Formats: sequence, structure tokens, C-alpha cells
Amino acid sequence: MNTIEEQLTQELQRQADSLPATSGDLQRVHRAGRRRLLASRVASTMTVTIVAFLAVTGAIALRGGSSSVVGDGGRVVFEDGYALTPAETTTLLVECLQDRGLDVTESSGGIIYDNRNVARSDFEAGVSACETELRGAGFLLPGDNPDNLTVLYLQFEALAECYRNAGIPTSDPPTVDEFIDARQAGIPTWSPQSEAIQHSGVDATTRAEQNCDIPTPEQFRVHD
Amino acid sequence: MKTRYSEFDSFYRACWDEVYRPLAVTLRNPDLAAEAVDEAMIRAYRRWRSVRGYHNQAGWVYRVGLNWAVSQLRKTRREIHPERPPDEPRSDQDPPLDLYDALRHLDVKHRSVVVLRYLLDWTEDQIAETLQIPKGTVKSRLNRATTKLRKELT
Repeated sequence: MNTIEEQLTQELQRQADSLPATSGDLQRVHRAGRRRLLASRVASTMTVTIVAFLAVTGAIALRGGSSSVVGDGGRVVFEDGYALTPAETTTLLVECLQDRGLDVTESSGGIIYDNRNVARSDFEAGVSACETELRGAGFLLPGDNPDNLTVLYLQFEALAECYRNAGIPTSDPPTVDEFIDARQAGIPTWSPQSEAIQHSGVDATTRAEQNCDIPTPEQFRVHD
Repeated sequence: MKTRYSEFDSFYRACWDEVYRPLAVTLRNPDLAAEAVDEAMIRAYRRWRSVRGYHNQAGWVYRVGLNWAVSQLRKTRREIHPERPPDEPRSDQDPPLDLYDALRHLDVKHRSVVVLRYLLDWTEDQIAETLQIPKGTVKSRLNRATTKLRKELT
């Protein structure tokens, strides 16, 4: 007669072996993991990242400024950190903004909100905080790519000129390298848009932008 | 180039079944065990930078999954059986059980140490570390479980 220990080993092994072959759902784990990462709040910074605004029938859409990203399938591969595609970034930002109580939706690759329900300043602060969360969670945003940050810098220069023409002062820009280093490190850096809002308010800033022809990211890109 | 998340993916594929089977035996519920492993994996994904450095990653996933499943069971029981009476203890007059049934009469905390010890052949130190309980508690749970099983088999 076997000892109780030997019997236990045999019985438990029999039970384990009789289980049906199955495997988990790795994609579900990825999706849920990313969503929950966003639920963990980190301190927000005052950096405002707005690439381009498009007024659409009473709503404003934010479109990512990264239509072409280095790498396969639009994904930049870094040694440590999950590089988000522009589409993934939009999805995660929408989830994060909704978690913060902002009434936003995803539409055609952009984030749409009704400016009658959501103040632009709240939206901008939310985007900034959510981007900080994503970076804090180890994600790399399409905008962290140096090429895209250079485009963003050029867009900011165009915006600064636009504001100056409308009588809204902005500070002198850093060099493009300083700008990129600061953005990649998550350090608040030059943002003429947030300066303009702070100086003249949201309405005046929006009016100034509507009177300018702000180039799209594509217009700055150099094509081979 | 191997990224942080491709490393996680490799871990997930290699570890899933290794944790699922003992957890399913412990919980006696394969569906709940599968859900619990994925729940634990989601937590591993969230804190992969830390978990990747643990020397017994499967043990960590087992413990987190077990704790999650037990809390789910408690919640479900509260919802379905808000006034459920405790299980009646077996008396000496009851007929002997076979091992399969006898194991059913162990609670989850005793069954988990039995599974880790006799299915996975882990040492008491490994079990203590995995379940984050003192080694003395592992010893006493194993002793109590085997004593109870012996009694119910005779």
C-alpha cells in the first residue's frame, strides 16, 4: 500500500492530466493590461501637447501628428518599452480621458469632443496628463520619435508666429535638440499654445489659430 | 530586437499551462483557474519591469491567481448564497471516502499547499515563499491536511 503522500501525488497528477488542453488569451491580457495601466494615476505635468485642431460642426478633433512612423506597420521598435502606433495611442488616450470624466469619443483616428460639454483647457490638461501616464507606464508614444518631435517643434514655431501676429506674446523657443531631449524625458518644455492660453485665454487663442494656416505634420516632412 | 513586451509574451506562453493545471486542481474549477491565470498575467504585464526579475515568476502568478480566485469565490457566494450555512462536518459514522472526494473536503488554503507539495514537488521553503506564509504554517497545513485525508480514507 502506498503512503498517503504517494497516493496524493498520483491522484493530483491524474487530475492535472485530465484537464482539457487549453491556453490563455494573450491578446486579452495585453488589452486589459494596457487599460489598467491607464487607471493608475501618476502626477500630471503642465506640458500641453496639441498638434493640430480641426473645427468640425461644433466639435473639435485632435489628430495625431505622426502619420508616418519609422518601423514595420507604423510601429517604432525600442529596446525597452512598448511603442504605440498612432491608432493605439488614440484608443488609449480616449480611454484615459473618459476615465477622467471627459466626454470624448474616438472617431476616424482622432479624438472628438463637443466643446459645449468639455472646456478646451480641460481637454488639453487631460491629454497632457494622459500622455504623461502612458509614458510613466513604459509606453513610447509616436510623438516621442525624434522625427515626429522635430515636426512638432516646427508646428509650434508656426503656431508661435501665428500668435504673435494676433498680438499674443510667446517666449523664445529652445533649440530643437533641447526641445526633443526635454520631451523625451517628460520634462515640461516650450509650448507656445499653453503660453498663449495662459496669457490670453482659450477663446482668443482659438480665434488666433482659426485665422492662421497652420501646416499639417505632412507638410513639414521631407520625402525621399 | 527583443522588446519588453515580447519578453512578456514568451513568459506568458511558457508559464501559462505550468500555472493553470495546479491552480485548476487547487480550485477544482478549470474555468475559474483559466480566468485567474489571465487575471494574474494582467497584473504581471502591468508590473513586468519588477516581475521579470523574480526568480519564481510562475509561483508569483500562482499566488496572485489563487488570491484573486478566492476573492471571486467569496464574492460569488455572498451574492448567490447570502445566508449559506457552513458545510456540515463529517462524523466518524460516515463511510470512508476515496482520495478524490477526500481532497474535495479540504479547504482551498490546505489544498493549495498539498498541490504545491505533492503535485509540483516543491519544498516547504518554496511553498512558504510563493504563498508568502511562514514555513511553520506550511508544515502545519500539510500535517493537518494529510491527517484529515488519512482519517477520511479509513
